[in-house]
Order: sequence, then C-alpha cells, then structure tokens
Amino acid sequence: MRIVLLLSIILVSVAEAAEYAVVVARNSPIETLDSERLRDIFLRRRSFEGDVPLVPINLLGEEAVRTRFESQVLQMDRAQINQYWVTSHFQGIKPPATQASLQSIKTFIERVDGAIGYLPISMVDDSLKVLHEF
Amino acid sequence: MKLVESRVIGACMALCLLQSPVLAQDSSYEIGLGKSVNDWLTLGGYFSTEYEKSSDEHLLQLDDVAVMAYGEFNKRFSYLLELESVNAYVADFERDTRSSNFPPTIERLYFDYKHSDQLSVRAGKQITPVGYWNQQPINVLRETSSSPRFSREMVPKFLTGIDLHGFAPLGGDVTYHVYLQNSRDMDEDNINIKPESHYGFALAKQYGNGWQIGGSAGRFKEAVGSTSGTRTATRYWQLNSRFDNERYSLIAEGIVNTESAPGVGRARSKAVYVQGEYRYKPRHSLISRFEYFHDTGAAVPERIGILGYSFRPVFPVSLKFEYQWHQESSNNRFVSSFSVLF
Amino acid sequence: MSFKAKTILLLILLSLVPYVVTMTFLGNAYRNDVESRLMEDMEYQLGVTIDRLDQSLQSLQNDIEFIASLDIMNDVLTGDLDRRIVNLLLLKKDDLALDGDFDVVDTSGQVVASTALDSIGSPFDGESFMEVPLFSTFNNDNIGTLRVRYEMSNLTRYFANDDNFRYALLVNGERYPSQMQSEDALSVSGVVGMRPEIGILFEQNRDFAFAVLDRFTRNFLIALVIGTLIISAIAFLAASYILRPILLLSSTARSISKTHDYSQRVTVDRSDEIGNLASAFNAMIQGMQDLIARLKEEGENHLKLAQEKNRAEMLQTLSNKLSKYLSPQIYESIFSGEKDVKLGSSRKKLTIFFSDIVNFTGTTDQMESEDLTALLNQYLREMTDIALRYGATVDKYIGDAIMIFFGDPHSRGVEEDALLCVEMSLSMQRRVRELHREWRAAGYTKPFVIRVGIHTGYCTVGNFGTESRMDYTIVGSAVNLASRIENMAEPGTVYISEDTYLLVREKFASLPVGKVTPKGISQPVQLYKVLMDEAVDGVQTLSQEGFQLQYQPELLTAESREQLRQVLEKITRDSSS
Repeated sequence: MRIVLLLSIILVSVAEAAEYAVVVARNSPIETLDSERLRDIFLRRRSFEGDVPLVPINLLGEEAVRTRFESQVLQMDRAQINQYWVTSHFQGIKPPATQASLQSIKTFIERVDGAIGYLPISMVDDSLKVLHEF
Repeated sequence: MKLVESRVIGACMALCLLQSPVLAQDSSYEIGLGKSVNDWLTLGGYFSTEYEKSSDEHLLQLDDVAVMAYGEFNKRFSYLLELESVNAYVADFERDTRSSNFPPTIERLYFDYKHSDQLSVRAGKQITPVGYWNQQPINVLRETSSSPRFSREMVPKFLTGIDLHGFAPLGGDVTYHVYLQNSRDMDEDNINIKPESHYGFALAKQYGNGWQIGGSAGRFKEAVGSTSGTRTATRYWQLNSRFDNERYSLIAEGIVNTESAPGVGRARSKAVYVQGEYRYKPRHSLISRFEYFHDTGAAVPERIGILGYSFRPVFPVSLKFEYQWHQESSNNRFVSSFSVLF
Repeated sequence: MSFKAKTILLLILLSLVPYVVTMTFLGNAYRNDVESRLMEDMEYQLGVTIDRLDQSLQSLQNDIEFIASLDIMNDVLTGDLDRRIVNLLLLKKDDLALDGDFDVVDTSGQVVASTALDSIGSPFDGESFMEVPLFSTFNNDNIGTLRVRYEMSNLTRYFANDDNFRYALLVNGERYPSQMQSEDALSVSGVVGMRPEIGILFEQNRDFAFAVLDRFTRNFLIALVIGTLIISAIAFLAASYILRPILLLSSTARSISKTHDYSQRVTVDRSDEIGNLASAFNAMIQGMQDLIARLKEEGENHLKLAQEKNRAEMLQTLSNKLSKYLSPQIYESIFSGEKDVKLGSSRKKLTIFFSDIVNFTGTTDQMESEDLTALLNQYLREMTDIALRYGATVDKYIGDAIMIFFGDPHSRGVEEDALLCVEMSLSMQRRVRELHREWRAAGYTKPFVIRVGIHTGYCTVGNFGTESRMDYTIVGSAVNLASRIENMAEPGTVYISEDTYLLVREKFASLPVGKVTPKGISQPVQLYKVLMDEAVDGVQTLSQEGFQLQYQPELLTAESREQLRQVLEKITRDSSS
C-alpha cells in the first residue's frame, strides 16, 4: 500500500510536464546553466558570468511559479529559504530583486543585462533564451 | 575616548535613520531581512537577552545589542558596518549588582570587492572565516543559547585584515579563504583573542545532498600580558562538517591548537563538539550537544552535555532553553535566551 | 516796535523755537524710526517666510532624491508594469499634499510613471520644476529622470494674506497670486535661496502700517498748537511782569532829566535783579543829589585853596634860595619848624672839623681868577657834598678853609659823630687826591693838598648875632683847638685830638704825632695822625696793639731790611721769653 502510494507520487511528479522555464535575454552571455549553478545564482553565492554581473529576479509573493521554482530548483522549502536569507542578512547579503508580475519579469529580463528569471513556458518568446525547464 | 565617541555617533546615526519616517513609507519590511532603503543602504540589527542560573551564577542580561548597515555601491563594491554593545545591561542576582555598558564597539567594518566568483577581497574587520559556529556567532542564529568552548577559546573570532575568497577553480562546489592579519584589531574591546598577526586558509565543500565539509589551518601570534613583550604563537588545524535537511541538522567541528611560547614550550589543546538538532514541529526543535575540551595544562579533559529546546515563531525570533551538564557538576546550569534579528 | 513788543516776541521766539524744533525733530525721528522698524519687521517676516519656502523646497528636493535612490526605481526598466513606482509616487504626493505631479520619464522622454495617470505612456510635455536623474542599480546606467511638476500654489499656501499684509511670488516677472500690487503699499522682496528665479514680494498696506503714526502726528500737531498758545500767553505775562519796573524806571528817569528834581524815587517791591536795579537807580539818584551838593561846597573851598597855594609857592621859592646859604640841617630845622629861628644857644659835645688847602695863597697867585674861582667852587662843592652825605653841619667857608661840625642840630651820639667825622675826613682826602689827578689831567700841575684837624669837645651852639642878622654857629675853646690842630697837621693828613682819638681808636688806626698846648689850657694835648686805609705813595702800614709799623717796600735797601729783621727778631724773642 505504502509502496503504491509512493510510486504513484513519483509517477505523478514524473508525469507532470514542465510548465516553467528559467530564461535570460536572447543576447545574454549565459548559454548553459546546470542546476547547481542556477541555485547558487538565486542564492547569490555566485554573481558573475564572465565579466557580466548577473541579476536574478524573483516574482514577488508566493505565486505558484515561485514556490515551484524554490522546491524544484533551489530544493528548499519556505522555512529553509527564509532561514537562508535571514542568515545572509547577517552576512550583508540581500535576496534577489523582485518584480510584481510575470509580465514585468519578462520586460525586466529583456531590458536588464545579465538578468535571469523564470516564467511560464507559455510566455517565452523569441526575445528570450530558455536555460532550464521545471 | 575618540573611538568611543565615534562609535556612539555612528550608532546614533544608524538609529536615527531607522526611525526616519521616510523609510516607513517604503512598504516592504520583513523581520530578519533588515530594512532595505536602497541598494547602498540596508539597515538591520539584533539583540539578545539571556538568563543563566547555576549554583554560583544567577544572571539576567541584555548581552547583545547591535545595529548594522550594509549596501552595494555597485555590483562589485560593497560594505558592511556593525556596531554592538556587549553586555549592555547585566543584572547579577547572585552578587546583587547591576551594570550597563552602552558605548558600542565596532564589531565589523569591511569592504568587499568582487572581482569574480572565483576571487573576492574583503578588507577590514570581519569574522574569521573558520568553521560554522564562528561564522554565525550571534544568539539568534545559533541553535543554543550557549556557544561551545570550541568557538570561544581556540581561534580569534575576528580578523582585521584581508581575506581573499571565492570558489576554488578546481570545479565542484569548493570555496576557499586565504586570510591575513598583520596588525592589532580595529577595536579590541569584546573580542576573545587579541592577535598581533594571524594568517591561515580555509576550504569548504558542499555536496548537493545537504552535506558540507570544511577545514582550516592557520597561525596567530598574541602578546601575553600587556608589558612583558612575550608572544605566543598558536597553530591550529580545524575540521568541520554538517548535514542539513528539513528535519535535522547535524554539526561537528574539531580543532587542535599548538601554542608555543619562547622558554615555555608547547601546549596543545583540543576541542570538539557534535550537535544535533531535530525540528520535530515547524518552529520547535530539540537540540543536544556534546562538547569535549582538553588542554594539556588541565588535568582532566572537560566534557559537557547539553540538552536544549528552541522555539522560533519566525526564524529571526528565537526563544531557547537549555540545560548543561558539566564534568564538574557545580558548573551545571540552566540557560535561556530570547533574541531577535531585525 | 516797542521794547515791550520786542521782549514779548523774543520770549516767544526763545521758548517756541526750541519747543518746535524739539517736537519736530522728535516727531520726525519717531516717524523715521517707525518706518525703519516697519521695514525691518517686514524684512524679518519675509525672511521667515523665505526660510519656510526654502525648507519646503529643500525637503521636496531631499524627498525626490530619496525616492530616486530607491530600488523600486529600477522598475523604470520594466516600464513600471507593476505600477509600483506610480503607487509610491501617489503615496508621496498625498503625503506632501503636493499641488502638481511627480513624473518618471525614461531616457526616450516617455512618461513611465506619473501621479497624473493620464500622462503615463505619452511623451512628457509638462514643465519640470525639479528633477533628479535615475540610475539602474544593476549597471549604473541612467534610466530616466524623476521630475516634479510644481504649482506655485504649493508655495503660496505658506502665505498668510489678509487685507493688510500680502505675499506674492514673482516668477519670471509673473505674479502669483496675480492681484495687482497696490499703489499705496510698503513692500520688501527677496528670492528663495534654493530657486533664485522665484522672488517673493511682501506688501503691507501703507494706511494700515502708518495708522498709528498718523494718529501720533495728529496728536502731535494739536499739542504743538496748544503748546504754542500757552507759551505765547506765558511769554506775554512774563514780559509784562519783567518790564513793569523797567518802564517805571524809564519814566522816572525821564521826569528827573526834565525837572532836575533829584528827590524823586522809584518804588519797586522786588528782591530780584530788577528790584536791585531799582534800588541801585534810587541810590544813584541819591548819589547824584549828594554829589551836586558837595560840588557846590567844594567849588568854594577850591577858590580858597588856590589862594593859599600861591603863597606856599612863594615860600617854597624863598626857601629854595635860602637853602643855598644855609646848612641843609639848619634849613630843614628852620622850615620844618623844629627849631624856630631865634637867638639862643645850647651847650653840646660836638666834633669839630677844620680843613684848608695847603699853601693855597701860594698856589692861587699863579692862577687866573676865573680858573681859581672854578677850582675853588668845585672843591667846595665836592667837599660840601661829602659833608652832607655824612650828615655834617657845614658851618662856614673861610676862604679855602671849611668849618664843619657834627652833633647839632642832629646828633647820632658823640662817638658816632666822631667816627662819622673821621670817616668823612678820610673821604675828603681821597676825593682831593682824585680831584688832583683830574686837575692835573686838565693842566693844573700845582700840588693840591689839604690838611684836616679834628677835635671833640663841648661847644656853645646856636644863633648868634642880632635880631636882624643871625648866624647859626658854634663857639668855644674846642673850636679854637680844632683850628689849631688843623694848622699843625701835615699836608695830606688828618690830625685828631686825643679826645677824638679815644672815641675812634677802635675803628681807625692812628699814630701819635706830638703834642700841642692850646691857649688857655694848661696841659698839652696829644695829637694823632689818622692812618689812611690804603698806602700813601707806597707806604705800607701795619698797626696792632702795642706796635705800629710803617714801611715803603720799594725803598727798602738790603741794609735796612737786615736792620728791620734784627729789630723784629729781637722784639719777638723778648716777648716770647
């Protein structure tokens, strides 16, 4: 029974198609990104791609896309993330900037050099480059 | 005197900024993350109160009050300033004394230059990048009210100098620190060891599954006594490791010190602690820690066992209780604290 | 113009001029003071207002700079899609109660965010009062500007205007609020330090400003008129009071001069200077009255005096003539009435002097008569002068001989008389020697030497003769003895009798020279030669108690010197042993 349940959960998660994508501007210097590096960028452990400072951008609030990004990509729950940033605050590190809407995230990524964010795949167009899907 | 004055002025300025009504207009404030005015100024601070009771001690103290300010001038240059009043207020019920000490000390004041992810430079007074405990030294970030002897007596907590750090170009998640101090501390009040020089390096590796390991080695010199001119040189080798997941944290750190002084010979001391935390419910956790400390000068090694409970309504607000069992039972004590990072 | 009118006018002028000058000066000063105070007050109030505007603008500047520094401004990059900037600006506008709008304009000139929601998305076309650039915190690029459209009503709301006080802004020559500047107003102006193009005008209604002053001026003029009237009245009364006695004096004086009736008086009952003047006037009239009476009396007296004076002058002439023939003492004695001129005598101890010129007859034979007369007259005059100088009584001249006595009519005492006589004799001898030298220089080469004899003794002195011809002289044996001594005296010397010697030996060194036996006197009289003070022809004289030494140094030979030495040696040796 338990095993079935566990399996079904796994199946469900596998079956779940990727809905979101980590994107950068079309002309961004970042070409590929492994998940560990992506995590480091959003946790502000890494800040550069070559000489270009990277600007991770978060969606404000607790929208589904953000929650999913955190659990899938950062592999942390809210409490851990909060703990992480509280600890970072003591180290003098601020969390990434935020935008209030997905549309503004898209605009931001298009207009700011080095910006990196996540959007529903449905919003991705030619101006953006997809680096990771989740 | 001058130092004290500049500290007071700095602290007052920071407090004034915190209370400024223009800041209140900008909406977003979340406790524990500081008040970000703009990129170049974020204000924050913390305090902790502690209650301690043993057979010969009975204290209530406001043991830390600190304000901090940090910001980025641009994506490469940033700074941090922290002013702290240690033992701002102490009520000693055993001796029936009350004391207060407002003038703050400069806890940290440094500038960062990020050249790349592989190389950053931090110059100024900073926390020595050794181990885990030492880098989260404030009450609210700790799991217990007390700190192990490991963190208190073996390595200078603070470094006034330069630290080169970044991701090691080896690949993988390996970070390094190379640090050097060749002067006295910027503010020698309230530091555990007052080295005249200190250098060392540290390495840390993170594994994706929640494990981290690290280690460091270094050497520092300190003057023994203020006038004798005698200096001792201490070498240390230190190892640390931790594991974290949603429920558990396990931390272990160990250090070996070799202290040599001309005409005295060598003294070796060892300190180890292992600590486990179990977050049995959100916001509630149980902590146990075992400490071992051995100094060649002391006849018997010291062993301490600790059992604690921590309640965090939100992470930056912490209420903790613990009981310590010492080798010498008269040192057994109850400690509790309430602390906030804001 | 009468004196009275002049006085009244003068009094009025004297009191009114300072009064008017002072009042006018004070009034003027007060006026100036009030005006400058008003202006100062207005400047001050203007300054306060300007400071407020300045502060308000400064705080606006600080606010937008602060807003521009906020991270949220990065949303310009996303075109403020989330309206976070707009919301912040709206909050801020509300907070400041701003009349106007905040606009965020991107680098292309498009309004990205604005408190005027309509203008979002269109090009910025307002007037930017204040602006600060915006920078991306991600790459420090300029991403736009934060602008403020600012209505002047933001500033004019600080103006507390009413009917009498008005503030107005002057921006580029335009006035807010745009009511006309009243013609009749005090005004000061300044500019806002933050924005020098904004001027501020502060006006105050002049009527209102000077209301107090006008009231003061009216009261002041009334006070001036009343004061003038009072002062004039007082001046008139004062003049009458002062002038009444003066007018009385003048009428009295006129009446006296007309009638010559000096018995008139003025009656003024005052103790002040005018009273004094009246008393003085009365005293003067009294004085004049007395004077006229006295003048009359003195006129008569004067006539009498003139007659008497004539007689006195005659007498004076007479006595002057007489004086030539009389001894001055006698003359004086006679004219002073000390001794009346009458026959009679008294016995006194006198010192009698005789002198004559040695070998006068022999000398005079060879001279012309005129020369002789002149010579003799000069000699006698000189000698008489000396005698009179010593207080002597010149008795008579007997040819070239002179008879003189001391002790009558005035005596200084017998001893003093004798001393004076001897001294006079020595003076005469000296004078004769000088005369001799003078005459020799004039060509008279003959020796001219006199000899003198002196005796002191009792004589009968008085006026001898008849009532019609009297002679004041002395008689007695002493006179004869004196004459005799004179005859015996060596030429150029003074011989004195022992009686005289005993009186003068203290003062005059004398040598005993021999004895004479006068007629009718049994005992011989010892004579002495008075030694002259100075050397006579080189003869040195040394005289002390017990010795007298005379010598002539140029004539001393070696032999005589030796002899003198031996004598002196012997004398001194004897006396010491």
